[in-house]
Amino acid sequence: MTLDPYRRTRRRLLLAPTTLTLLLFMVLPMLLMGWMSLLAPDTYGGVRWKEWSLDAYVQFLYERDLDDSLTLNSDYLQIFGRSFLLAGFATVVTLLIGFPTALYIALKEEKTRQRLILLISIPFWTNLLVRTYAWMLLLRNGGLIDSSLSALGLSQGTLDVLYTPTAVAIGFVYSFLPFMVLPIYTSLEKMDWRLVEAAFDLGANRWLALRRVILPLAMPGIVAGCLLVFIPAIGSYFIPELLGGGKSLMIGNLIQNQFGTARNWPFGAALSFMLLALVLLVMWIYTRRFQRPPGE
Amino acid sequence: MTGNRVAIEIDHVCKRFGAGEQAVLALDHIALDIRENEFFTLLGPSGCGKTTLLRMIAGFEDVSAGDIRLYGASLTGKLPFQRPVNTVFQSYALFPHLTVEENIAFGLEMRGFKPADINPIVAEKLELVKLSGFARRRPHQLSGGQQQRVALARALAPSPRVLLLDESLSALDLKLRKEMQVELKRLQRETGITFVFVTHDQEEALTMSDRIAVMSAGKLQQVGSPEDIYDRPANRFVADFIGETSFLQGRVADGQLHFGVAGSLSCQVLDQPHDGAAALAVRPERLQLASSGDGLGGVVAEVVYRGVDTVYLVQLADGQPCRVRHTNDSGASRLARVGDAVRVAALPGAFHRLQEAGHDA
Repeated sequence: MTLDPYRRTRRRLLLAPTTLTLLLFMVLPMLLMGWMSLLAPDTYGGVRWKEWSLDAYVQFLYERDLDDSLTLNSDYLQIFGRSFLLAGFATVVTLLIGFPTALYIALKEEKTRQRLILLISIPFWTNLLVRTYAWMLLLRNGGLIDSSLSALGLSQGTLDVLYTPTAVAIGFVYSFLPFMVLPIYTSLEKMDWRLVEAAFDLGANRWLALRRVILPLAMPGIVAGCLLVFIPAIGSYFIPELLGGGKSLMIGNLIQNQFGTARNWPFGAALSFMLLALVLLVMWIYTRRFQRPPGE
Repeated sequence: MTGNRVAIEIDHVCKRFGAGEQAVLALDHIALDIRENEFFTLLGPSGCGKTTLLRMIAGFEDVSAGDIRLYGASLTGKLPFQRPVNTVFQSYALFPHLTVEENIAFGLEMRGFKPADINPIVAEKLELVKLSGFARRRPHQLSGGQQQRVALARALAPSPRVLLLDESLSALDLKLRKEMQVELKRLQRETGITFVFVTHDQEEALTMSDRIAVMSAGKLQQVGSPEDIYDRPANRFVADFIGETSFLQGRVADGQLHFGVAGSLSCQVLDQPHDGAAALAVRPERLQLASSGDGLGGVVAEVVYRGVDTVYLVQLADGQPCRVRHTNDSGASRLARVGDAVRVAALPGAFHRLQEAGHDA
């Protein structure tokens, strides 16, 4: 499309606030981070602005011994792996719970649907940090769940679930479930249910109608939901901090450490970029596989 | 072509919506038989219950009372996917995520056909609806008429014993609709499948059907061939709903019709010759304007030119209005002008006496 100069200028002016915001708060910090990841750390945090170094990236995979030789160190890879697994687990579980929930709501009458969606979004009204503390109270030894189970005679000894990856996984599923339900519900809500009737008419039973018609048509919502759960989960910081008790570190905690106590800003910046690369890679594979309707 | 075997038996079917005091009787003891290989049409104004009846046959609505039998076997309690009938939906309901051929293959896959058997059937159905070049397209890339054909091919592919069509042509424009009417009739002849067609368009019903069931307000008004329905409407509703009709009050004496109007009309009432007051229905094309001689006296109140024909609204001398239609084939498109005194003559058998409790004195 070609525009005359006047309209082109006007369009640029209209876009200017958005462009400036993105440049200032998105592109610039990213460039700064990229730059920082290529510098040497200063002793008390910060960076030495004139000292170029690839150490931050080397440090991710290798350990530098006293004699300056490099040996492979998988500690950080393990943290990435754990983050990936926990986020993936949370995505799968929220999908398994979220899809039937969204389907159930979408099949209700208009009034009931609005009420149920309100119930789903009520947790957003309180701070996630507070809700996570509540989970600590529930999960800790001697907490509500532990004492109820003992009282009912269903467990011997203590629950010992707080400060484990299991607690982090529970926290993830709890916190991110609405992010799975809402986009799937949106795609199911605007679905043409006459198509399901047509599937029944053509001999599909309920399971086949679900698999061959409802699921493919809800796919955009499912893809969106999975990304909305996976991406915040893999980078999440205070859920593993509080429920994992610092024992099951995730990428977020590691990055926070580098800018905090470890005083290694370049390494923190490098880790952030690794996380970004991982997320982009997952998104790319995932959308390539699922975004298009099957059969194309 | 119509066999005498009964394909669908609708046995005093009722449909109640709601419960208790507010219950609405959407279908009131409908009883009719649909024969094998027949093009059967359920015709009526919107809200008459025709679509509800069709959805009951398909299995999307429960039967409140009565029974529907397919070749003698009751359909009660059978879910839609357990019934050997397929539907062409009003909105077509094509699967947007599947190609044309995948749409057509869907019913075959669901019924457990092997992939090797599916392809030839899909190709055959595509040819049947003249869409062979469109196998890989998606529904949104097709025009309304093409989507309609895909919906037909999809419903015909599993070789249903009965094909149900729910207002299937109403979304098409007039010209396409006329084409599809011929097309549907051809498909029904070629496949030999029983078609049950739902429409509110009386012309469509007359064009395509072997038999028509006229419905109104949940009640069956008349079942018969298009000729039966048009020439011998069972009651005022049917006469009024199908085609154009003038209703006149007359008297029958000695098998002859008399009107309270100057002028005579030599016309016999053949079907119900008993003496007495008679509610009569007459089609405009069976009346003629005559300038003198035999006929009922009246004055032209309105002239409507419609291209192929001209309709004259004549106020008879006793105040009853009637419509007279002349085709414009002679070139003389205006036989009379508004205000002209004319005589209305009738073709033999033009008047049909209606059985009507309220009007039979």
